[in-house]
Amino acid sequence: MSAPTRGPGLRTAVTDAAATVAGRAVALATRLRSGQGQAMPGLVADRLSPGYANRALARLPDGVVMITGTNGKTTTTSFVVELLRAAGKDVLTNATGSNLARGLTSTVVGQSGWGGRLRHDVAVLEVDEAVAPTFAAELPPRWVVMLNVGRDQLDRFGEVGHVVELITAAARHATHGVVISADDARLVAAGRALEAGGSSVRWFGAGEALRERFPTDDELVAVVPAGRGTGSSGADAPADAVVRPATDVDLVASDGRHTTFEVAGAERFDAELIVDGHYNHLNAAAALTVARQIAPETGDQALVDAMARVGFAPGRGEAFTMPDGSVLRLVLVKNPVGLHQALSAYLVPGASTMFVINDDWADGRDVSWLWDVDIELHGSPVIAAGTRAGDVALRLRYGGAQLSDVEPELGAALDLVLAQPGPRTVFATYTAMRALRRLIEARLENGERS
Amino acid sequence: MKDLHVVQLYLNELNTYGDRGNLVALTARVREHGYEPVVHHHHPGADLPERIDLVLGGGGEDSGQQVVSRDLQRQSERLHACVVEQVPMLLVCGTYQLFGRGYTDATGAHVPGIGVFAADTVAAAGRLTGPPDRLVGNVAVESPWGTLYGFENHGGLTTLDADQPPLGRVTRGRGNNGRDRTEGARTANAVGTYLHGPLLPANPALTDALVGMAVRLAHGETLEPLPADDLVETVRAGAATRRY
Repeated sequence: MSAPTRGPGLRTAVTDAAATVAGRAVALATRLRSGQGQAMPGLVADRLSPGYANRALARLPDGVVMITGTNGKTTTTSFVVELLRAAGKDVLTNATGSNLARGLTSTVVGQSGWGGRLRHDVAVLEVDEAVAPTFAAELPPRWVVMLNVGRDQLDRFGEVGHVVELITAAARHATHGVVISADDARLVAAGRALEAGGSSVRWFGAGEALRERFPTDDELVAVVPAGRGTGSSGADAPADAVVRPATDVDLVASDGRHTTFEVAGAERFDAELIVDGHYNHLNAAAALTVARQIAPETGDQALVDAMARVGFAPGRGEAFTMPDGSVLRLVLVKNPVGLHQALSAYLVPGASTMFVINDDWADGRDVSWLWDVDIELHGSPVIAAGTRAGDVALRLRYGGAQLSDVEPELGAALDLVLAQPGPRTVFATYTAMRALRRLIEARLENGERS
Repeated sequence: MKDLHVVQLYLNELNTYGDRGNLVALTARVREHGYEPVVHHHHPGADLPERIDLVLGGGGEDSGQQVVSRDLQRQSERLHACVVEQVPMLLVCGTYQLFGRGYTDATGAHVPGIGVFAADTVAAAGRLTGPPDRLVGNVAVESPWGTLYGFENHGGLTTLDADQPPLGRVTRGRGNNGRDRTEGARTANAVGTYLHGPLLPANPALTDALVGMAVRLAHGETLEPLPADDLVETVRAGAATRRY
């Protein structure tokens, strides 16, 4: 159980109030200036009153739920938030993708009362894998959700084994339990170790029929290009026969927007969601697993019904209707598994497609991962864009793409893809996705005015 | 069409950074030159094929290195014979380290290599406590095949013996150890390197050199040069201006 929190001393209460005021002022100022500034208010508040956010979060009656893992943090967080709201909870959550320490503090600054107190029942926070252990040590979450692990921004995180260590270290601090994917051998091993250490672990996954649509990163690596030869594929690789843990929730059907979840290996629930894409549906299964632990009294049917209210997180499959009525879909891709999933969910053969790959720090500076995924485009017209437009073009050509343009500059690239007939799908890395959203929204505003 | 037998080493165990792109680019290039690539995927415990014209190996995590090290000891004699026969090899990161004398990890445990390269690798300090201390970034190397562009990301520091030729010298990036500006190693036609990227798609001069050596060995033939590729030149021009 979580330790009871002592009330803050008068001095702390005063500085927390001051920190809130200062942080809010900074938030307002930076927003006015640039339309951005997610980290700055948190930085200021933390300087004025160290530990500010943790004190506020520690007082929440239902504590903190931490969502972490390589892919799907933002979408899973949206689902958990909506399910807990259906359970009648007042939920605090962080702005999408703002999952580093200062962004988290900024979230608290923006949501707290002037005294630095939060009115909410529970906080659902997505936390970057590298930040997770420190965050959890300072403020033990009630629940930690470990979604998946894969190669991601290797320049920043190092090897996958290291990422498993990071999020397992965070999960050790969970006071109530840990929710883990039953279909990732590395995470199953980590979960077994957590259980041996006394943690309560609940599992989720994909049903038998869907399993092959969710290759783990290790399985993806083992896929090799077709051709003549011997000993190909991972067929004779050591399978490390892992016994699949019994799951609380399995995703057993995912077809377009239609989903079926099987709870406790017995009862099945159908849901028609706003969000399509099988990997988003697996994230929904993770959300259901943790929500039914936090709010068992709500009942599985009500929780599943709440899933239908969750829309796309920004740039994660988000569709924009342009002024001429045509549609552009924006899909974040940042690592091999994510790209594999995004392609299998959203690539429309023959439709206009653009890949926008930047190599800023937040994207990961190494773009080698593009080669770990089979990008088979079979003559579809494709635009290569972003700071690494040339590299992505070279990769796409090996995938049989019909390259229509190579354009590093994002505004020009957006013009090019909008000049093509809809529907269009744009796969973009993190900074590229954020920049494109701003450009698209500016055009939508202009379009409405004209 | 004449065959060219390519052995891809340990793709399941060692392929962390897109190194399978080397195989994709190499096989495509072999076809462009008019030969038929036959790819043999070698996994631990299996036997190497009878005919070996070219060898590729990638990089990986410490756990993969242990398994690979044991299998390499078993294959050591054959692989050394291939080096003597002038079989071209491209060994990236993890396989480069294990084609040297081995890798000493952060705990001091030694993973033995097969000593094709007179080189020792030790884990960079700081990997047990703080964040992993790695050599990471874009690299340019002056090599016998012109400037090579790639991306390095390694936690091992490699030191070559005085008489072991490097692949080249870094003009940007850290290279073998971040101190002596050497990058990679070269013994006969075996090339070891830390360059991912992957290396071969953007460095066709090296790809052609490897394919040329293999073709000479297997068929006694010489490659005709292929026309320059605009897209590759665009990528290389971009790489040349990248600062870090």
